[in-house]
Amino acid sequence: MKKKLVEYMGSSTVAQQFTYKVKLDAKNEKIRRYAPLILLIVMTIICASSQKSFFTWGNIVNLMYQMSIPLVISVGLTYVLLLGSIDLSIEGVMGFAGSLVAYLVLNRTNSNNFGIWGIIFVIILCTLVGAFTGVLHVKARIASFIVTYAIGCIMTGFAVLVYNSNPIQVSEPLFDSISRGSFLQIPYITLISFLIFLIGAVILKYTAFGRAVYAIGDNEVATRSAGINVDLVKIKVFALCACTACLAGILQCVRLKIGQSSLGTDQMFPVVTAIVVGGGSLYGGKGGAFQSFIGVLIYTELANWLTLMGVDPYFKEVILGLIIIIAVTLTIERNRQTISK
Amino acid sequence: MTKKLNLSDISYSFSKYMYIVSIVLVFLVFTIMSPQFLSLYSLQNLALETAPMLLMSCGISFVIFTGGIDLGTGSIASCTCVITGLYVSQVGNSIILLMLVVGCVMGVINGILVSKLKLPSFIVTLCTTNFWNFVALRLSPSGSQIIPLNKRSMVNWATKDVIGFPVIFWIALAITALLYFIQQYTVFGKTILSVGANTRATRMAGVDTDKAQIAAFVICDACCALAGAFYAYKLKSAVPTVGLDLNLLSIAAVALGGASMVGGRGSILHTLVGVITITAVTSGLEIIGCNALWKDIIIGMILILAVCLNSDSKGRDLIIK
Repeated sequence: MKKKLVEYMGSSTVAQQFTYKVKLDAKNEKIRRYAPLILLIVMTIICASSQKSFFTWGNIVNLMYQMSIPLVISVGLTYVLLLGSIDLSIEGVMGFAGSLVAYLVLNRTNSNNFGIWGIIFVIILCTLVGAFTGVLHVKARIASFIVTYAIGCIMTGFAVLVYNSNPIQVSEPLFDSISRGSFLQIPYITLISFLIFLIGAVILKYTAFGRAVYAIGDNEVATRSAGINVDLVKIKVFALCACTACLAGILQCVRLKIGQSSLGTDQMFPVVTAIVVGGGSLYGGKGGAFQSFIGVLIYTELANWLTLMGVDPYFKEVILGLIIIIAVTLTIERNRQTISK
Repeated sequence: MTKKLNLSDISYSFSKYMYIVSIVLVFLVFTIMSPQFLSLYSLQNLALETAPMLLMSCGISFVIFTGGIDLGTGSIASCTCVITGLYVSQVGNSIILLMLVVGCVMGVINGILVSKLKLPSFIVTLCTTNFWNFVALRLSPSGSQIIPLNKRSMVNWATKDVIGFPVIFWIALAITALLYFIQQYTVFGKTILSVGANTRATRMAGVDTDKAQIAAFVICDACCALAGAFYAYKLKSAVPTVGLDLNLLSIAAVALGGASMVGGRGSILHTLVGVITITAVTSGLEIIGCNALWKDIIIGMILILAVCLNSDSKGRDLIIK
């Protein structure tokens, strides 16, 4: 560290200092790009060595099934983290979506039977909630973590209110056929989640909206000066995040056939970890759909391995916390004068 | 343009007096809806409910004044509540001091991670929360455990009434007064607020901002640890889930007290009023027979409304993330 500083300060001309800085940036960029891939390979080797049947089709399908819900959440959260914001309302929205959809489709508690229309209604409602969060964040100028935290608590409250502390059992035949059905041994839930991920990835990579998200995360002032409606993009991102959280909640409900607020419990934190491990930055502008995919894959393998090793499930959360702190510390840009608050 | 300016002026001056308006409004509404809300019994109960909340909110005020946030306050309270509940019968009342030390250690960990490694405080506290939760749930895996009946005499002093109100309420009030004095009349208190207002300028003025941030977290987490111990005394049991909704309540109380969430503005005295308002709302809802499930929703809305009114709409060039 000291040697680096000497090298940096010792350079006599501005040009030398500049070249040094550019070199350092390039190096950091390289680490950011390849470290997750190396980590993935290492994790795969560890898993394969402790589990003989790791490379069988059955196990790979199982792994894909396990990563399907985090993958859906990661789609929206990637956008939010690219902005440099955070969405803590995901768990609440997931629980609410799962509970409401169970309330609206064929179930054992009431006589509702809206079928597919119920699902569409829930998706629209949750997207509107997300848009409302975005409006509060942008127009009332409240930091995203506090407004999403409050919205998350409110949504959890509404979720419990929907089923009145008596979880709803779902008996919808559509849910049954989705959760049972499979194509080439791959369950429909996995296919649906990968489809959602693909749509999210394409929007992020190939549309003006997606590029605007990157631009805002990198330099908000410059983006505003370039004539992009920053506020609108942010509102759209929060709406999108709530929409994917809602889809994840519905998929959880399809999978477990029960509607309750705990469908969302402890779902957000692993995904934040996964995205950061995959190369995303909590300060915005870094990362992408592919990186998030790698991150989610690493997380799923790790979670699998920890379960295999018989690690206490609560301690698993502690390990995730440690990983996130290490990953954020390593990827923080120290030359950008950050103020931590 | 002028109309817009006026509007923000009105909201600004309202946010200054919001804590007074809200407490009067809350007490008025609940007294009209149910006259026994202002009875002595109900007020004593309110004081008992307020005591641990007061500690937590005053503690987290310091972190919010620096512009940070602590999302782990509830888990710290759960953690120390479990430890106190399980071991008070063996260690005795000195366990409160022990919990204070534990809280300080937790605060140092959070503070160093935030200030030295320059990580955002919400993510740090979210990560460390997992650890406190792990301790709480591991020590008391089968839910809450009561303090054995033959040891009850040891903890009963805390809820005895002195001059009309329970002992822990007086202790919490004394600590609040101490924190108010620190915040209002010492250099350290002023430093905390100036770190929140402008970290870079404060650092350039020669103040060790890292130390101030760490100290803010130490005060916050020590207060939360103490609040957890008080919960064990109050409930006479070790409850690993006691802190679940305390996070939201304590942050909402600070916001209602008119503190700015980006830091630099607020007062412990206003937080005190905010805490009384929030506990009045929660216990008032119970008295008028409102469904308990509405509590979180209403408190969440109060939080958003309070933060909206407090948010500084004047500094337009500041980027909010």
